[in-house]
Amino acid sequence: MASELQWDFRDGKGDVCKTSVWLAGVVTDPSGGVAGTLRTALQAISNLALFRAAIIPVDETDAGAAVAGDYEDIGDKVVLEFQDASGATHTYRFPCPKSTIFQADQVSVDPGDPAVAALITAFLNNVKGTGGANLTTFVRGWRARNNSRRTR
Amino acid sequence: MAANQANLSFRDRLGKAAKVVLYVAAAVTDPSSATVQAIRNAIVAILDALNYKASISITAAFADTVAGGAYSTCEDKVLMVFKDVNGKRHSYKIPGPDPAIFQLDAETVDPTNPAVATFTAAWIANVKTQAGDALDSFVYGRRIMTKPQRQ
Repeated sequence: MASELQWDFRDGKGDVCKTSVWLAGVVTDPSGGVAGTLRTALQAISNLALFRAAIIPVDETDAGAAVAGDYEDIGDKVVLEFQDASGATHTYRFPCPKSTIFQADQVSVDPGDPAVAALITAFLNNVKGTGGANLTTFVRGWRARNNSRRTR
Repeated sequence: MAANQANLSFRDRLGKAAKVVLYVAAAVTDPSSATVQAIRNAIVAILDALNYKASISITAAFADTVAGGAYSTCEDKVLMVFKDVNGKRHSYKIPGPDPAIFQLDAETVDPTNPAVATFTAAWIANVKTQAGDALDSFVYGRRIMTKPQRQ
């Protein structure tokens, strides 16, 4: 486990630039502790405004597996639409959906499929909207396809 | 209410990659926590893709002002080069360097400058390489210009 610490600077023209470093282990405080020590040292040698920091702990443990299937290409997606309490829509696009999660038309997601039902429950319990609102309802899901991204 | 951004990286059988962003409660800060694992496990159960990485982005904002000076633009940078414990070099580009950290040639970093000495000590004590190796020593620093970045 490692954590990436990023800083955003702004100059007098309003241009924004970034610097980042890696830290050992899971670090979750972007302003105090080690991050604070480094920021102070950084600000002492830079004349720009350091206006934002982000700490990004990374877990590179694998989950699942890339296996053969009807929709095994990264461009094949399943789109899942949820709503929060205020009615705002939150849409998620996941690659390589298993063919078993769709209804007979192979387009509409079957909410009665056990894996889909478990995912809906996990999302309603744990995933939030961008502002922190709870997701309250699964609306619908469907299969889509878009251009694949470059390998990174 | 607040939320932290979780980033999930996926790869298909041919090695092509995709990224999915979602949000979790502000209290969730560890990507290896049970909450994130539950989300990852539920997602990969409906996919034929490998979820090879999860990260959480936690941000903080600061009130800071541009101090000005000769090199106070994003394009003006100081390149600080360190060596890790294996002898590999790692460079860090810091924008808007204070002119006081350079020697008389206005190009070469003066390692005896107090701010530079504090900076290099803080880096060696705390910063690691992406592989997790410690930085061992400061090699040199010099002023550079980079291309303007897109906003």
